[in-house]
Amino acid sequence: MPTIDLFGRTIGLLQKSMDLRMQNHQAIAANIANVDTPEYRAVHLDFETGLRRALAASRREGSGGEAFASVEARVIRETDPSDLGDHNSVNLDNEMIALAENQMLYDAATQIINRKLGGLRYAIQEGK
Amino acid sequence: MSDITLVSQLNAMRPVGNVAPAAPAAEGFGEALKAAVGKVNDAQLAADGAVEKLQTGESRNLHEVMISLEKADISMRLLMQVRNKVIEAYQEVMRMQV
Amino acid sequence: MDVFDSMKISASALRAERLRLNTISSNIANIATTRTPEGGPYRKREVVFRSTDNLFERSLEEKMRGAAQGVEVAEIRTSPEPPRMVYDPSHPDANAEGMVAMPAINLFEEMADMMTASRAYDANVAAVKAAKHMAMKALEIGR
Repeated sequence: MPTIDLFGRTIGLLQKSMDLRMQNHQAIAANIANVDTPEYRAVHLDFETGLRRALAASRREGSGGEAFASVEARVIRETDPSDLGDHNSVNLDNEMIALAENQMLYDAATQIINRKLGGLRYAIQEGK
Repeated sequence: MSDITLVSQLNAMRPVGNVAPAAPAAEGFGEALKAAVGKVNDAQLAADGAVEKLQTGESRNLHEVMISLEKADISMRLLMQVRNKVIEAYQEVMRMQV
Repeated sequence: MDVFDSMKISASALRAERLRLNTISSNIANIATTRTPEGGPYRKREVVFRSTDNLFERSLEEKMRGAAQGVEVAEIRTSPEPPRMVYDPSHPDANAEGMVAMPAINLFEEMADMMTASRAYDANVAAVKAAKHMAMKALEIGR
């Protein structure tokens, strides 16, 4: 019977995911703050591929949450393709959507971690 | 997710009349418990998979994740209560005067 | 990488946009001002934005330092545009030819700028709300 180790792969993934999403929020906040700054290049973070790779590695090696500790977000600076105006590459509508999505996924991770830890606590207390 | 109540599992086991006459009841029960635990484990793994897909961007299906988490949770709690009842029953039996 | 850093970033933008709004209000209020302490008609004020790293005393995570920048007003500069000459001989400040030097302020331009500043302000308020919401959610872990 396959076993699930105590604070295993999923909790490791969720923890790292929360870290990365907080960083992502910073980048999005910076973009929104600089929506009117001339010559500003929008910052985007790419981390979902990193998470996926760490997940695959963790499954391959049968390890738990340690595989996620080293996942880093990749910083991408986007330049304005058109040559109009002040060369500011922030698209406010996209940033607002990214803000909402990021927050939703952070909240989801919080809730899921809560449930998993609650389940462990329940099991330890023997359901009493 | 199929029903894992004790009674249905025991019923499924009954037609298999094998091994020594004294043992069948105990065998059937052990198998039933093992199967139940296996199913709970599967539910947990399915929930973990859904969470992984959500966080790595493969799927944005939030309600799928929350529902499979809840299913895993409930089946775990059911198994827990069954275990408690079984232990209670065992202790009850052990306390009987011979 | 903490939530207060992102709030500081959003706060810097709120400050900057509010300053811009004040400048715009000043421009609109003085759209017909022909006398100023420095002489001549009122000259339009403009804000120049610049992104900044100087918001944090504690060091930000190395990677995010260059990436997550706030915004500040680099300067409030006076527009070099020459005043509009309008023919109005009855005006007390009319010159010998009856021309008055009026401020070179276009009301519609100022209104458009005001809407942009307002929209940016709202967007940053939303960012602050999101950060606060995330922090509150994190506090609920284990409860």
